[in-house]
Amino acid sequence: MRDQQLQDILRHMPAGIATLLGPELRYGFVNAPMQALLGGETPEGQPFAEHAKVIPHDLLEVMRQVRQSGRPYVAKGYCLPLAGPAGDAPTPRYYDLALEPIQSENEEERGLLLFAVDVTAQEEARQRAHELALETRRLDARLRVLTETAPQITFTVDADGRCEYVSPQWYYFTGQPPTADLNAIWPLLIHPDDRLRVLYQSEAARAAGTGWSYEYRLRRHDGQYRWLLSRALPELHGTHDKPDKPAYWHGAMTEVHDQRALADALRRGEAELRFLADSIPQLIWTATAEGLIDYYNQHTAEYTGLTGEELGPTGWVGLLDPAEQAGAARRWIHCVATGESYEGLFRMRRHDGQYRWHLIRARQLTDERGPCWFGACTDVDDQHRLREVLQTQYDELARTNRDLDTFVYAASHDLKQPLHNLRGLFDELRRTASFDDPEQEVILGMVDEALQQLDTTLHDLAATVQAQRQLTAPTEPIQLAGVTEEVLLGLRTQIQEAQANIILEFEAAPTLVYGRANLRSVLHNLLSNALKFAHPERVPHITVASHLSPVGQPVLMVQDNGLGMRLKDASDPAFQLFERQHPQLAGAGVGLYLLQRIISSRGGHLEVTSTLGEGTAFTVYWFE
Amino acid sequence: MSRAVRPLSDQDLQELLAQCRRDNARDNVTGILFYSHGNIAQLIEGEPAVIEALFQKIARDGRHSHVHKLVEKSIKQRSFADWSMAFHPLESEAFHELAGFFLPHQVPAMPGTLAIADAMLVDLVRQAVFGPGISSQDSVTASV
Repeated sequence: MRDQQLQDILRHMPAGIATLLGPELRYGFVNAPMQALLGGETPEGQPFAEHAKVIPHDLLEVMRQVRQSGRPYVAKGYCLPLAGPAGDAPTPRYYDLALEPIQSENEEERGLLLFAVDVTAQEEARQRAHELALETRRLDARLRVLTETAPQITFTVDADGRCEYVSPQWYYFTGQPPTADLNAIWPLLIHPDDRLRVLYQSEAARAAGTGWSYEYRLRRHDGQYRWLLSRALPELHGTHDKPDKPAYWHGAMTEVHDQRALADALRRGEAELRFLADSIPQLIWTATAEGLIDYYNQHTAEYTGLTGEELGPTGWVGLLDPAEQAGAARRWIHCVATGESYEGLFRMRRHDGQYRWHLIRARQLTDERGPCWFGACTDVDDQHRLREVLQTQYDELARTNRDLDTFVYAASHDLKQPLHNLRGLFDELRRTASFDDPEQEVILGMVDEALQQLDTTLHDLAATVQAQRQLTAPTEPIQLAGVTEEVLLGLRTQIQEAQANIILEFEAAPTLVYGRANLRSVLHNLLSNALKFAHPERVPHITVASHLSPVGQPVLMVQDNGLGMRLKDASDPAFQLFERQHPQLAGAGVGLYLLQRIISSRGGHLEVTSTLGEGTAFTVYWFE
Repeated sequence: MSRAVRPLSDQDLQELLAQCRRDNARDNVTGILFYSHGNIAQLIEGEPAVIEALFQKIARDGRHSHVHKLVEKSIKQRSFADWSMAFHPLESEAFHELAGFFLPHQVPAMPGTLAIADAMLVDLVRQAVFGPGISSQDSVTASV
């Protein structure tokens, strides 16, 4: 009964139990778990080796030796492929196998007790742990390579601020030996101006359990302090809602010296530009690519009495004269769309309500950050008013001048008729009246001469006005030879009387682009002068020649061997109206004045050289 | 002005139009919204308290980012009769009949009650959203 009870217990144990007896290890008692392990059939008395195909050869050998030697053996974590149900591929399972010899005198009863405990779960866990350990080592190696090759210094500090780890870069950077006491040396390498701040911020972050990010200067191996960015985060465990107090902070330090220097330079540059813009007594502003103003300088606020905020992105247009606002706005929208420069003259309202003329200009700058606008409004009110005054005065003067010309012309024209009448009456008087006194004859001659002179004066005055009006006439290329021939034809009586010898030399510069009537006036005056002031004791020789000046501008020269004249300044002979060089000869003193006006108004000038009693040479520089 | 987080489809725009018209009519908010290629610009008119709350709500709206206020000022009278929206739908046929919708070039002239500086702001913003060339009813021109 007790035996039966024992067998029941053994049968239901969660471990495989079997007895194998005799030299062939025949099945004795086999409980259910061991039956499952061995693949089902365990007919009592059959040799173990024939039925249990799953048992590897080496285990069989060990079993035999255990039986033989009588020394128990335990194989831990032994792998046995367990046949799956319905011919599935066998899955490896792990067992702790205890082999206990059964001692007996009887050879057939001597055997062994096989005890198998399934430790598959433990074994798998162990293998997983092993794999994890391998993976951890691999990750660890990778992390170390990464931290040691990255250009940053990486570090780990504990809650007390003691340095647990620092990557080799720290030693390269600082030039400290590997034996250096990190916690003692590190604070000493921080720039004195930054040290207190850094130590405080680090401690504050550790106390609060947060990360940090700050910049400070650390002494490099060459003694130079370089700016570094130090960032660290706490290593947090526990749940998200209830994290443990962090024990370690891991961080990295990056050298930001060059960026910082650049940023400093940029900040300084911008500050200087802003200062410059604020110092200029002009309205300076910048606008975004969309044309919305984002900066007004100080002077804008002073001039308008409005802050940048009050003005807003488009408020400037409201400062213009109401009538001009719409046009200015349209133009600005167009410029923003096309990128064209903006320019306009507008009246802008000052803080006291007075409108002042401003030149508004804006240009688009395009760089890698995209387009933006720079604008300036320059106060040109004073210039503008001055110009307006000058323009008014100029217009007035021009009108007066025109009126004067008209008056002179009208007067000379109107006087011609009375003069004509006077001459008629005088001729009639001379024809009908008889004069006995011989002196009367002289007086008659003087009257005649005076009338003649009056006639010439009136004629010349009219010619002056006429020439004045022709100054605006269009220019054309003119053959000098042709025009000179025409002029000489008009003077043929005088030429014949004086028996003058006239030489024309136009080969060097045969044509001239000029107003035709003006050219004729110039030639006529010069030639008639040369004839009029001929020396009474010799035959007049007159040379008319044209050539090009060294700078390639046409020049005309008229030279005579006449009376000559007295000059104040040869290069700037200022000939005044009614000024006469030779009062003994008939003339109005109009010719040279007229000449000079024509030439200078067309952009040229007149020069004269003369020797009294030998002759005069006029040189016309048509253009400067 | 702001940027849409992702491009808005015709469906999105239509829903936005409907939602805004409903809410704004309730709150007596008027104005106009421009949309094109992810660019959004909006002008809103209303009682200060309402506008302040509405702007906070708009600024928090997850459908767009980079929200920035160009100008805020008190006005004596409104320049918009109701709330409307202008954009280029992919299928413009479906939108023609919708109340409060305009194609960008059909946006009516800004009324004369708007100062020229403000009309110019609307025009510059519209130009920034839709690109140059939408000028057939240029409001500054029209207000002259």
